[in-house]
Amino acid sequence: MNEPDDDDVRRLLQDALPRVNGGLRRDLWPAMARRLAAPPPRRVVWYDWALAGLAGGVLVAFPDLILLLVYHL
Amino acid sequence: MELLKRFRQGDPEAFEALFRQFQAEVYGWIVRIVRDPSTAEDLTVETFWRIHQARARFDPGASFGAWARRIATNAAIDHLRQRRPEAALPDDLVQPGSPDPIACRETRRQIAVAFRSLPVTLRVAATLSLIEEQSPRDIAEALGTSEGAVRVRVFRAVRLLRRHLTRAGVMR
Repeated sequence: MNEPDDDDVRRLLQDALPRVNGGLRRDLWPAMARRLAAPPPRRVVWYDWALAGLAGGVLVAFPDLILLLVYHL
Repeated sequence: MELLKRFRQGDPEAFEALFRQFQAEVYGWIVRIVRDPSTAEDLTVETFWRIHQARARFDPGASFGAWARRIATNAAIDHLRQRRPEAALPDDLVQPGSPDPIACRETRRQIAVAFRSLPVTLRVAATLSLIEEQSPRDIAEALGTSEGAVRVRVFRAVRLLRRHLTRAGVMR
């Protein structure tokens, strides 16, 4: 895989960033089980944000609409 | 084969059995890429979470290990893209007592900084190829690309590193 030209760079990298030899230190199943049991994170999709931004923009541009909105609430 | 079919159908016991069977292998692959044991543990759980979510797309006739390794690589790449490049180097990966031909710690730091300044896709290919000396086939499979594309990435990584290190005075 390594070209002869790579040798000098490879040697420098292996000296500066030694190979990783460590194995897994603990059983990860408990963490996995917790992750599986956790409720899925609530996600706000982008068009909800866009709609909220649009509504906010309209209210900023036409403040009188706030009164109308409050009346209907 | 039966286990893989049950996993695909959503059997939790089959998933647990596969997790226990492959967690060390997946962790070992991820820690080679991210080079930090604690992060690799978190990413192993993240990988199996993605595997669990994507179980319906798994082909029971294919290799679970290869599929898991590919998902693990994607999870590691996502992590490296999100991480700030100036984050400290993990010290616990330095092998105690190993011969260090580089006398100057500053030089070592410059090499590490140059390496971490590479684009993530090049860095991952170079890590697995030049440091971890994984086979081109395994790297290509994990990255979802061809062996030729892996060679190109490694070549580009070496060229960028050489340029960076020459400018820093580490190489001539």
